[in-house]
Amino acid sequence: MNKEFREENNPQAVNKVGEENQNGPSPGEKSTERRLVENAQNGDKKAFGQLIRLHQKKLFRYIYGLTGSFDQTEDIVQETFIKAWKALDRFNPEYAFYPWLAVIARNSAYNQISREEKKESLDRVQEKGFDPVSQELGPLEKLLDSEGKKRFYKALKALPVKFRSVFVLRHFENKSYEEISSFLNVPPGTVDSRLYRARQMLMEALKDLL
Amino acid sequence: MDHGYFKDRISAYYDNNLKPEEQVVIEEHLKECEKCRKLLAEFEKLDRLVEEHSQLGGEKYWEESAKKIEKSLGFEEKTAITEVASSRWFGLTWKLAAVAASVVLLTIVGLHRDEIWKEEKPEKRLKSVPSVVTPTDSVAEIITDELKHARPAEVDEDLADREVQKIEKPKPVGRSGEVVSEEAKIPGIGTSAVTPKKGEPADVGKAPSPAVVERSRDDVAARAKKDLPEPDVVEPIVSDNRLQEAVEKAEEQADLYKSITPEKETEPESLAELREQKDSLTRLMVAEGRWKDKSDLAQSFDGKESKKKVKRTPADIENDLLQTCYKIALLTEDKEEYKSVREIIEKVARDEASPNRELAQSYLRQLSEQN
Repeated sequence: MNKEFREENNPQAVNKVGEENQNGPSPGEKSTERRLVENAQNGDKKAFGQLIRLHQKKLFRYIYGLTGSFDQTEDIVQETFIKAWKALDRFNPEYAFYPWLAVIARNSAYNQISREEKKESLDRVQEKGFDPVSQELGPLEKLLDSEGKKRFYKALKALPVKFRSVFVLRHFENKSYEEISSFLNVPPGTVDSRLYRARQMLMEALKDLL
Repeated sequence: MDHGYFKDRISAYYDNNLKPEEQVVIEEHLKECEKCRKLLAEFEKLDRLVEEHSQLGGEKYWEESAKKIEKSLGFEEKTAITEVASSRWFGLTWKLAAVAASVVLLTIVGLHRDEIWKEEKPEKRLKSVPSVVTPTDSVAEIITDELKHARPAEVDEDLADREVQKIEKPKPVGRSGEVVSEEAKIPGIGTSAVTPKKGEPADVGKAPSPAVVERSRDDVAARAKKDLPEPDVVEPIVSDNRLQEAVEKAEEQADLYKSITPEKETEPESLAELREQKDSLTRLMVAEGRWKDKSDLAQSFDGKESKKKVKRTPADIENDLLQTCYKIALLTEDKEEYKSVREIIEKVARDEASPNRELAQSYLRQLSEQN
């Protein structure tokens, strides 16, 4: 089992709507989101479609950061929304919607990694993620409209997964050290050192952009 | 203290993740160490770079992606089926009207059987026609249209006369002498004991000759003697069974499309609904000739093949079928059923000519991952 992605499956352990969350929508958006969630819970497909459009990009960025694979990310994001739709009745609309999606997506990513592990050794997966170590971005390149973005994602993809996962959780998801430690089941000190290492590697790769 | 220690802690300091006493130590060090201040500044720059360069573009892709997800959820599928179904129901209007008309006519015949068999029981004629039997234009037109294909009836002219007076048709066609009016040609109203003989020319609108009328009387008497069935049976009303065929066709189509047309805008939730939908779509695929090899579909094909041509393209139907099979595969716990629907998806995935091939392959990939 890949401990890098082991985490507590606690979808409700997320910010309530209205609580401060740097990553979340603004207060107005929050109330809009809550209405969309409640409408979707009442069977409003259009409302759920809006929720998909509201969150899919951020979710994709997060999962791509974890997996480094465009195809896997596409599948996981799609699967996440399907699972969310099926389980929507169990979601408490008082809470922010994105963190719930993110937990579902992380679990899916974890499941995929577990399956990958059956084929490959743990160390190998940890080192290279799903894709062979490569800076080729593949289809993702079409979604990056500047050279700087391409450089950034190539550098991110080149990071070993144990560093990349910590970096993504911190920078994309604004998770605290304690949360990252809990999600990845590693000591807080390890989060500290891996984050420092990830930052150093990226700064080295992107120093001309800094 | 070792400079390496500070470098490690600068990262945590930047994230405000140090204990207060550690934070004080780092702040003191930063005042003295140019390298660590530079490192801290670079962390800030990296943060901004991540914020700026990690945002994904390609709005068209995201819209397509959202639609793809919605399609997987059956959102678009539902809309499409509803639209098609609506148009089909619209197209079936005349057939449904024919069903309604037949019911009305049967009622009339039932109520008027004594009149129809008047030579046996003339005294039992009904004195009035229930308001429900007043034909509307459309119903009368439909019936008249049906009768255009029917053969000229041998008419009990007296009965026809009486019935014409009772039926309030907006545009009555006049009659003269022994000529039977248009209204009288409405089955069950003016044309009693109609059993036209094949081979005789259609001659709607013309009056039967006195000889024919006479023969009609004889026939009625003969039938009465033979204890023929009560005239509230369809058979004696429309001799060539066209109305019956229309009714059967309408019912057949109604059954078929009812199974793939939700009564309300909700997702089919049960496996039973999905199975029914799958079977209907499979029948449509076979009916369209898109899938000629019925043996491949033996498990889902029940032999009730629809001969009706549909307006939706085979690719659309195949797409719906794919999605339905995928949902069943996700929901079912029956291994045989899973195998059955998976075979259908595999069939499409192998079909190089199919526009749904990629979708099928995607479903297969997802099913493999689910397993």
